[in-house]
Amino acid sequence: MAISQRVLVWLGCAVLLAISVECGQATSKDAGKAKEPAKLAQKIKISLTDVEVSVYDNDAGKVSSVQKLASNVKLSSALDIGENQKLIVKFTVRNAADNQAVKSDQAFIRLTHPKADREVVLIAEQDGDAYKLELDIPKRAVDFHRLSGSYELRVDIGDVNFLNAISSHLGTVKLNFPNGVTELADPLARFAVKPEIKHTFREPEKRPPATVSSAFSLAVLAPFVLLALLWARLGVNFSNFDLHPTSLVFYGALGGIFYLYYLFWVSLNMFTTLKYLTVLGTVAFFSGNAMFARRHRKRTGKEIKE
Amino acid sequence: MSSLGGILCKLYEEYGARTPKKLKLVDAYLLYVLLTGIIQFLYCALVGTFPFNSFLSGFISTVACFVLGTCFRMQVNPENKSQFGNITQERAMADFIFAHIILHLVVMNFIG
Repeated sequence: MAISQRVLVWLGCAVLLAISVECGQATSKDAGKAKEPAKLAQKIKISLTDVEVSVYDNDAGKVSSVQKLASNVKLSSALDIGENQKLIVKFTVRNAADNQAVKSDQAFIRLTHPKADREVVLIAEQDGDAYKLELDIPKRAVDFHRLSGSYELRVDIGDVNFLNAISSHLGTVKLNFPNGVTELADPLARFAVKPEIKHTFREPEKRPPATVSSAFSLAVLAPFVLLALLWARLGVNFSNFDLHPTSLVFYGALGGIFYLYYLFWVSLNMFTTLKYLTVLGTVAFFSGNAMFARRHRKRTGKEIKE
Repeated sequence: MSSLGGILCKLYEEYGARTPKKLKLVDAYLLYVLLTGIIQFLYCALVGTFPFNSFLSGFISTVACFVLGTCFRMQVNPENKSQFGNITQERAMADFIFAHIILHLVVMNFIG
């Protein structure tokens, strides 16, 4: 990471340099009437000084520990920062030549968790001549995914006008986030192969054995035998059976209707059924009307009074 | 217990003696429909409701047949002449048949 960033910074410098050189060449062609080519800003060499790492206790409302680091000196031991504390890092960027404080375009504090291979980059704010970062642990916990543990603390400084970029390793800090975790779930886990989704047909409903169904079919038909027996005992006969043509038409139509119902059950749809039923029903209505009227006359010897 | 048996015997005798034969025919039909319905229900309770539509249509058909049969019996019963005097036996029969035609259209539609 550090190497790639440094490379990027240098690359950026190189590109800018190239562009300014090109501009310079282009303008120098028509020298004389055009104004003088802009002078490149003097590049300076910088150094990182006055590095101070302190811990601020939110509960107590005061700084609980301060460590001033000389250049290229790391923290003596891993700095433990609690759940309700702030990590404060201050530093000053100076021109190495005259020791004046200078501003840098880029001034970052980088915290890397080597085990989880995670990195959080924070911007150091300008504070007078110095730069300052206040990392409030409970407030910024989300940026760290609440991953507690040892982080490497680095300061990265770069600017187009600087000859050198600085990436200084300040040591190790141990951050403890409220409700913190020690391991993060693998973010690639969600792309892992999922179990294959297989099409499942609807489960057939439970059916009884065929013998049971058949037995009950017979049982359902059995009362018909009883009916026949009872009717026989009561002396059912067809002596009153009417052989007049209208009666025969009525019986035929009625039989036709029930046959039509059978066909409806087996194959026809409702529309065709109703079409045929209209015809058969009309026939049955008129013939039935005639038949019942005649039977009434025969039984009572009177016309039906309505 | 003997008195209950006696009552039932008396009831049966009275029924045999005083009910017109045509009504006995209808009663036999009603008994047939009732038993068919009971057996269907037993099947549903003991074995399962697998072809549920078929069970419903069969059972509803028996219940409706029973209701229609009872209505028919009420209308043709000479003792109910005061209530259904203006309805002739033939008219009652025609209504019965008409209602059955409608009922079985529905039943066939539902049977699946």
